[in-house]
Amino acid sequence: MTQSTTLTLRPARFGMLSAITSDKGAFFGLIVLGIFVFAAIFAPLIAPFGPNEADPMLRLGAPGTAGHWLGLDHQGRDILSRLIWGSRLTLATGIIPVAVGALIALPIGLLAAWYDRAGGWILRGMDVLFAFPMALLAIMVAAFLGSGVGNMMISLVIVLLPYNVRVVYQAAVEQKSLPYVEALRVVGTPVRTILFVELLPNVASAAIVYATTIVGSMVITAAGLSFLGLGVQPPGAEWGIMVAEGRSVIFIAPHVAAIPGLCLSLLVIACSLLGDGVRDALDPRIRASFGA
Amino acid sequence: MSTPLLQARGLQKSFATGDGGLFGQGRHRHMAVDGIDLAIEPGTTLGCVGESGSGKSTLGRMLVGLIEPDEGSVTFDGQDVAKVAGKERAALRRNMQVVFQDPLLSLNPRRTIGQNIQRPLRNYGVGGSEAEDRMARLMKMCGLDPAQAARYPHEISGGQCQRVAIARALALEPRFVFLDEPVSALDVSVQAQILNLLLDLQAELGLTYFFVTHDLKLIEFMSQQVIVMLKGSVVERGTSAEIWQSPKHAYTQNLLRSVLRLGSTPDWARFAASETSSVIP
Repeated sequence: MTQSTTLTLRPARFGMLSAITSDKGAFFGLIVLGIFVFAAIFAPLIAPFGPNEADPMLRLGAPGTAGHWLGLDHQGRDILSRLIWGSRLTLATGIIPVAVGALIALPIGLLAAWYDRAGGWILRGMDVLFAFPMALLAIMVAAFLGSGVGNMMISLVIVLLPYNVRVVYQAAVEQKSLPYVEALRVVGTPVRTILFVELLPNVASAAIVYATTIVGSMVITAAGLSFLGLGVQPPGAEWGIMVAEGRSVIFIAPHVAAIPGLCLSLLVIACSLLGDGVRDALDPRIRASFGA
Repeated sequence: MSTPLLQARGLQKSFATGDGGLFGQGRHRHMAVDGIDLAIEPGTTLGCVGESGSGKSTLGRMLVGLIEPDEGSVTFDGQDVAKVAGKERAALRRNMQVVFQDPLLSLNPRRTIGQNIQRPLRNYGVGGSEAEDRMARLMKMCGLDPAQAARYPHEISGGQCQRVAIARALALEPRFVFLDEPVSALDVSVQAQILNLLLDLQAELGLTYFFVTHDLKLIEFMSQQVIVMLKGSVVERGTSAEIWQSPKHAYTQNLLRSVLRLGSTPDWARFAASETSSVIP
């Protein structure tokens, strides 16, 4: 029971990590995400087969086929191996654009909220992007930039920008109207300090929570782009592509689409649970309720 | 009569109300402050009383430079605030601080009390252990235990939050403080403590106050001179004894009547007693 002893010996002032581990949901999310990240990093070491190694004799083999725990797909490729290899691109396309998008949106949203006139122009610009359906805009940008994983991620960042900026802007406007901002001005705080030191943490939680909720739809949009030939190119392994490929054999061999689909769902749930935990850990008012 | 520390001439401010429709046909301008002159002697308090929406807070915000007046000028220690710029302006501004109405909302909720108090010091290049020392001194001066510096605003009481806000306002060693209804969000039992703290600090540091309230009872306790505001204008001014004993304007008389029966002079001991008894049944 050494583990619980170290836990009780922790100082009363909680760190971010201990706040997350004391939250069951967030802890679960962290573990799941940790497993996926581990798989992505060590794919060459732990995957039993290469992503495109095929055994045509065992095509559509059910889970439990000797040597292939999770079965094989319509070309006879090992599904477990493709899942492990595919976690690399899946995590990259799901998380990187969301994280980059949020990071870009924070300063834009803060500045838009602070400077009314510039903010008006920024928001109108975002409205132009809003005018296009998400998927259509992603296709347009991806097609303009050319196919490829990097270009797909850039297109996802652009597609997400108006949503991220809106979220940050809304949170920042709300904070800006609070008296403490006026108090900061009175004591001679420079605008950049108000925005990027004092307001940032209060606004970031909204951006983080929003970002975690859209990881799922980003993975799906990325899969859609890949399906159209604008993102990951077959035979590349990516969970969205695996689901799309399994679609054609869903009545004969449902596991081909279901297993990567399940992994996608797990990823989305894990991100959203972890996001809730991070938000709570960022907020000292909620952190106090953990019993610090 | 000594020279006033702070002087305002012909201050005017209006706000647009309504978005005015497509061609601005529905736009109105609401006169928040309509041509006010005032002067505050060093080391004294000018009380300002009036109902909500009478422009008291707008007036105070113009005095400390949070809002630019449409017309008129503010002179601090002989200098026209609008005419100095850059570094000199910053130096002038640090002499004018504010204590806000809502103590909890006027502190950054994500920062500890200590960080909130140290913010003004850091803005003016004081950091490290010097900032810590000065923070501890400020906290003691305002009746706080420096050991509380690591706590967050939501973890302490409203009265303590207001002490933190006062400590922050005094961090830059200002000469003038605008008190914007500093006790109206507090329990009656705590109000007297905070007001006494403000009076003690004034005596100790020679501070000059502009004290805004809608509560006439507090005015005589706090201030030497009083202005009574109604719809953006001063309807009556005088020493607080004059206002209490012989209010001239009908509005002031009404205000007074709402506090206590006309003819009786305010008795602070009795007021405090009655307030306390109403709190503790």
